[in-house]
Amino acid sequence: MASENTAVLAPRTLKSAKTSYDSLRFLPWLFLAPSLVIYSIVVVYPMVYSAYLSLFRWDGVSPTKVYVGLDNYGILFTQNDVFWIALRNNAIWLVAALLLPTSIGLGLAILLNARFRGSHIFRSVFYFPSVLSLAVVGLIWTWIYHPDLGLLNQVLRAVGLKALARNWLSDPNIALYPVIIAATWNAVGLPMLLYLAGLQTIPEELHEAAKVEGANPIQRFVYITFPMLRETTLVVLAIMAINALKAYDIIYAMTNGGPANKTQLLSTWMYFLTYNYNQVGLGTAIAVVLFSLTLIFAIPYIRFMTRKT
Amino acid sequence: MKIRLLQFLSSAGVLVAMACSVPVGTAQESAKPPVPTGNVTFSLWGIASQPWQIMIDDFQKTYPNLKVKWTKYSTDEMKQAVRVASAAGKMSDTWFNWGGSLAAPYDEGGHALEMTPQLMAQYGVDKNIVPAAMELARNKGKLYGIPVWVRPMTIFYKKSLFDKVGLTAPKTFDELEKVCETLKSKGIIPVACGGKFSWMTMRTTDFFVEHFAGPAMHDKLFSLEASYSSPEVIKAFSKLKEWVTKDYFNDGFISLDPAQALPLLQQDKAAMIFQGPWIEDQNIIASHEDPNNYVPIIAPSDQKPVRVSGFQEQLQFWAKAKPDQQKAALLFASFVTTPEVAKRHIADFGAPSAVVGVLPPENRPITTTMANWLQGEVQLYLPTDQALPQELVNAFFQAQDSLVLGTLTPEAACAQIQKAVDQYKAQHK
Repeated sequence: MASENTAVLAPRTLKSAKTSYDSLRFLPWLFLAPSLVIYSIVVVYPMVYSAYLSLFRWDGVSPTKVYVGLDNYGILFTQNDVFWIALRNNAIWLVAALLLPTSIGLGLAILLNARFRGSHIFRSVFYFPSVLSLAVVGLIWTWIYHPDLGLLNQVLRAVGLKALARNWLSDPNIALYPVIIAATWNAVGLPMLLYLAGLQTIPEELHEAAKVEGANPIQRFVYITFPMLRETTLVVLAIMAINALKAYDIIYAMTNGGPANKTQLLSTWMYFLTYNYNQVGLGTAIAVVLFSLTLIFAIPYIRFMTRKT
Repeated sequence: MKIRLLQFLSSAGVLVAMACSVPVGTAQESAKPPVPTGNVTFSLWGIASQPWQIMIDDFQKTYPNLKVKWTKYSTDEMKQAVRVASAAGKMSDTWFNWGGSLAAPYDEGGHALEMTPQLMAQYGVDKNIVPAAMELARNKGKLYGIPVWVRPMTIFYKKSLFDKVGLTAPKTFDELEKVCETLKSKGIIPVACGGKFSWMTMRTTDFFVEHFAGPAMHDKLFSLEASYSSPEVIKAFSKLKEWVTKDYFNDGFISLDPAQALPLLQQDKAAMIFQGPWIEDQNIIASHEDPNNYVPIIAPSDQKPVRVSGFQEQLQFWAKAKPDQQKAALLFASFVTTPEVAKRHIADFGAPSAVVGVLPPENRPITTTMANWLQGEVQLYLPTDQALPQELVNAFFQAQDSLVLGTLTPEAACAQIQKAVDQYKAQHK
């Protein structure tokens, strides 16, 4: 009797289990659906639409768009001088963003990782610029760099270094670098914080053992600290690179891309072409170029983070 | 976008227009704008620093069933918001805008409501707004908004500093150059300028073009009928270069924020500045300074008719707004441009009103002086960044700033602008 029942019920149970397994397979997608819908609307669709617009000549307002194929890309690469200036500036900005905030942040983190009275206050002080918006940072540093009334030139004159005083943001040969310094002041807090967190994970025993073996502080940094911070460094570099390619506000606030477009970045030039100069096709073509450049850093970063998770 | 003809810039002055216009009482009697029934809320996009709240409060008090939802923007945000909204097909019921090439895309793209003669009569526009302001607002003879303010821009000098060095206000171009020379020799910066956005430098460049090319040719340059490579324009650009070389502007002015230029006058480091009447409220009175110490003079171009740079500011209306919202928005613009209402708000405007018979209060000497010019024989020419199609404004700015930096000669700068003009004309045949 019992075996007869089992023989009858078994296929049904299997079928039911398979059905519930099938329905469970879609359950994660169901939970993800709201996020995916929002992500598609606010990220994917605008990106695809921007790429589509880059194939047209359009002022952004008139009801008619003229299809020009890849002409906008041709114009950018062959006729638009400012595009190349912006690309070069982006490269400089990227190198500076990878070197300056990262190394200064690491140095500060090592100093502040030591236990001393008031270390928490110093951590807050050094992190403080990071909580300011880049527009505010831009405003502060614009006044510091003011040729006549600015703190920097006044200090240089007061200490007898008048020859070093200059028009920091007006000289097309150097104007980008004062902006990079201001951006570094703002950016250094994040790597400092990440490195501080990374330093806390290094077992103290390693340093103790190295000390016993006679390693000096530089050797301990080179052979223990820095290798142990490899993952943190990768994350910091990726974030700094992506942020560098996204840089916009501080240029807008400090130089507006000038003088004579000499401090334009791809992001600012994209904005000006699209919103100020009615050249939406060219502006969105820059957006596509910028997006492609960002992917170079974003894909390894995302793969690394996903693998880690 | 097609080339806009700007021949209307040489239209009659505001006073002439005011003199010809219908008396205030008649205007009020004839204008009977329709009032929407029931509760209606409509959206207004306006510049945060402008006195919209005072006008909104007054309007809502008069029409309790109508509510204004004001979204505040900075200048550049405003341009961006309207552009994005027009591309998305969902605009504000009414929005603040400038004129010229900044408004033209919305006019020609079918986004801004055309003020037909019928609408103008219905909302009292033809009676309440001075015709010269309407002429500045017109695009190819049609009106797509209601002008609210007129903003002339010219040279201001600091009286106490001029008195200190024994100078008087220059009346000719030569006198202006002599004044600059004297100021420079006394260690004072002749002209404060904040060229970061290029438009403040452009005011001086435009003035030089007006001086060397004259009003007729200046207008032809704007309508792309004259060449930027012509000797007159090259002379104007050469003069700009000469002033830069002679250090008549402050150090590093090319990247200085315009907001950082006036402090040079306030600290007695500079003596003159190319500005508009808004500095009276926003900067001078706000700093508890005497506005009589900052005197606007008619920029001496030595040309006839006498013109200074200037523009109007208007409210535009979404052509596809819901009927009640559109009516309410039009009523709002009509309300704030009725003379008795405009008189109540003029003290907060910081600019001469575009409304018939409305003069600034006596405690606003700068705005009063400029309003009086406009009531006389002084006319306005649009600044280049409103007169040229926006696609060409960048070419102009880049050439001008490169000239200042010394990376282009005047001839090369002018040729670069003309090249951009030729390309634009070829694309928009």
